[in-house]
Amino acid sequence: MSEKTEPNGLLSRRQFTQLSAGAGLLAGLRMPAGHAAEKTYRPGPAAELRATELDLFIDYQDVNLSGAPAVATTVNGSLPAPVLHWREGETVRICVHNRLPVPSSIHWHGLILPAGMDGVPGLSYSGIAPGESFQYEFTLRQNGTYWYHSHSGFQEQSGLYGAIVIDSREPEPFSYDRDYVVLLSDWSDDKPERIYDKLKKQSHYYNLDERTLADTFAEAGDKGWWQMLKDRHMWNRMRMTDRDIADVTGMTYQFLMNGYSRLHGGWQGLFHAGEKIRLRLINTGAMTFFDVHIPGLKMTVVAADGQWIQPVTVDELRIGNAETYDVMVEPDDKAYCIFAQAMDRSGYALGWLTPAAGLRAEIPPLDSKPVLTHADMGMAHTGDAMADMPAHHHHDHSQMQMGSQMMGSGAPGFGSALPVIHPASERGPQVDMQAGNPQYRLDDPGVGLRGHASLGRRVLTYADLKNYHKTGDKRPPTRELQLHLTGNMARYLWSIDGERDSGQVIQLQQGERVRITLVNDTMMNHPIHLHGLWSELETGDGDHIPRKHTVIVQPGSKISYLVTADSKGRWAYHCHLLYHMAGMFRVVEVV
Amino acid sequence: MRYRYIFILLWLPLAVQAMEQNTQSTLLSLERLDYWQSTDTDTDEDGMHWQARLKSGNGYDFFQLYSEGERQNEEQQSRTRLLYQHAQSAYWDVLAGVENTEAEKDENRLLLGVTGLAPYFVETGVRLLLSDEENSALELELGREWLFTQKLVLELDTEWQFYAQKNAQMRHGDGLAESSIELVLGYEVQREFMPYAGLYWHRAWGDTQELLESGGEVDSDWGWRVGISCWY
Repeated sequence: MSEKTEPNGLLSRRQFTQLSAGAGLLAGLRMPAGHAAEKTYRPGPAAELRATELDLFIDYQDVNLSGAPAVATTVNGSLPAPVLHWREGETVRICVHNRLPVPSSIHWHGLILPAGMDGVPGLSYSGIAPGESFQYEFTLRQNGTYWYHSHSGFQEQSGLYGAIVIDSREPEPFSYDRDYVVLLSDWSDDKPERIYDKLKKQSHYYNLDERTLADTFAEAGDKGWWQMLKDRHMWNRMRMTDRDIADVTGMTYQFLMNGYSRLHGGWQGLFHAGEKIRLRLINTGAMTFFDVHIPGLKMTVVAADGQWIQPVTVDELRIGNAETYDVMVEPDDKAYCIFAQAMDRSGYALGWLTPAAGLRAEIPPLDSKPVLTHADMGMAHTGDAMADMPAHHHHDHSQMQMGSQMMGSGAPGFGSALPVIHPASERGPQVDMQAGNPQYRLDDPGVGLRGHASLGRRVLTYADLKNYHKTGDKRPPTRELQLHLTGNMARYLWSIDGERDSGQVIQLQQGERVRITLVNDTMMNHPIHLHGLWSELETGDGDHIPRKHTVIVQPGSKISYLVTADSKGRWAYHCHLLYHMAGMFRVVEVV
Repeated sequence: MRYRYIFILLWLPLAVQAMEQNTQSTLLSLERLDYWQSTDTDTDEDGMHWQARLKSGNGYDFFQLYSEGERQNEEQQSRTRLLYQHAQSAYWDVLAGVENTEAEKDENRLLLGVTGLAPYFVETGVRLLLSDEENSALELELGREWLFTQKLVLELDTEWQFYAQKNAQMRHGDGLAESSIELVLGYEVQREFMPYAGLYWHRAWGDTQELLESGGEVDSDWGWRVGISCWY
């Protein structure tokens, strides 16, 4: 079975692209204005491609998501890219054609496949050169909700992402009448290279919620001047701000749901009364964590990162970049608002579940803006242990002679029993903080969500995630890697273990089971994605360890997962915040 | 004066090369461009002032070209620095380079310095200027800003100049020679563009004050300034 998909107006567009390239125009340059598409642009439902042999065309596309014309990087002319809908066990052949004047690539996020098919330029292959194509071929060894995106430059920010839905071969442990992909993303009319450049020059450029004198006076009014000064002392001493939640915000972003911005009224999903609906939430955003709730509806989470979990019913969940959650909702015969607010509350993506087209519910207000606490700085809750500045640290570095590899571990499912040791490399201009007392915070909903129980909203935490299946590999880890997520916010430098060289290789032996403990020595949330191998998150139940491909490491915390090195090759391992990725990167090589 | 242009010519290819590598970032900023007027009614002084910077680097190492000057009654005084800047610790950079002063007398001095953010968000700069013509100086700069709103910014800046030796020709004594304090209120129309207005107070100290006074020059004054700040 073969399905060729050609976007409309392909020839003229291809000729134009070739002309542009021939004229020596640079990548990402805006197309001339005046294309009809700009004025009439409306997002539509992404095409659904069910063929196992198909062609995908990467090209520029005129869009209008903010009220102003802009150019996106798309697949088959669609933002988001078409939904790829396959069946577990199928072997798929996808020919990806690059019609950009720059190299491109497609990575199948969360799919377990041969290393050569993973789509990471420089690791899996050399990428897809301008005008060239690449034939992917792999067998689907899993079911669930995943996604795909470019792994070249910042193309992911400019629109190159889409959903993957893989139907289960076995009957699923849940049933539903309707199935919607709810794909969240962040769009800017600014070129992503320019966003990165601005962050490099002024890291707080997009933060429109900095602390003002009015805040200081209000705080002094609340608790008195002396207490206020005492409380501010730590932040002032460390030259950090408790208002630092997101690097890039609604100041430039339009938040999209299935490609619909607020200007387009949001996305709409129809249902008939009495139906049970499966929503496949996917965060394809470049830099945005979304907090999702649907006022009036409980969400029963049945899968995380495509993998079934024991159902847990919540009112709200935080979805980090690249994560996916499948939730079930059972609406009454009325309209509901799917409200996905950015973690820093600088905006929201919006959608509707409605029994009748055009019927709407009330849009809930944005929740109050998050403020970081001492816990987010890796300090004890009492506040008496201080987060340490790197220069003030004294450790016995002889313990680090094996690099960051340490022997001995806690029981599988329960995390590490080893102490946190900051490596010697974790000092210098690239590191502005070390968590003095990082804790497992699995049951912590995270900054900005902690008070939501008092609003009557039960928030999903990682502690809720228990695999539906029994743990497949029951072996205890034979060794443990402790990696520190490091950075300097003001200099906008990001790294692992403070190392400038992000191309370093972590070697795993084929078949071995290891524990990776990540320690977050920054005050940002980092979603860490391991390609090719599952991250089996230790959430406190050794018999039902959930499998994830992307794991949020909360600021100032630590988290552990087990990895079975069952797939040979070189795999990318990195922070999925797009502008952190270049520095916060390692190669995991299974030999 | 010719030295300065040689320095710029040497430096430009490096800057261009840096811009072509995407790990590099190049900042062009006009930190101050203003018109100022002294309140001293006797002299009725006014003029233009600027501070501009071109800084290019990879996050750890930078080249920097800095220009600062005054234009007053058809006369111009300026200083130009060509610097290498290296990130030393989380909040501190070290600087090394040359400074060319163009006034009545053209002079080059060797510059060594430290710049960074001290606790409590105090922008700090210390520069040692070494001269072989009895004109070696130490300069200290401190600055802090407060936000009234996300766009309305209050800046307090102060600068202190010390000299190693007295030099009558250059009209400064030894020790503390001059200081200035400036309070500026700016409105960030965009992050990259801020009109501002402010007050300054400047005075000379010790022998420097006497030298200026005897030469009939202003040794202390305050006034206002209004201008723009922008960067790309």
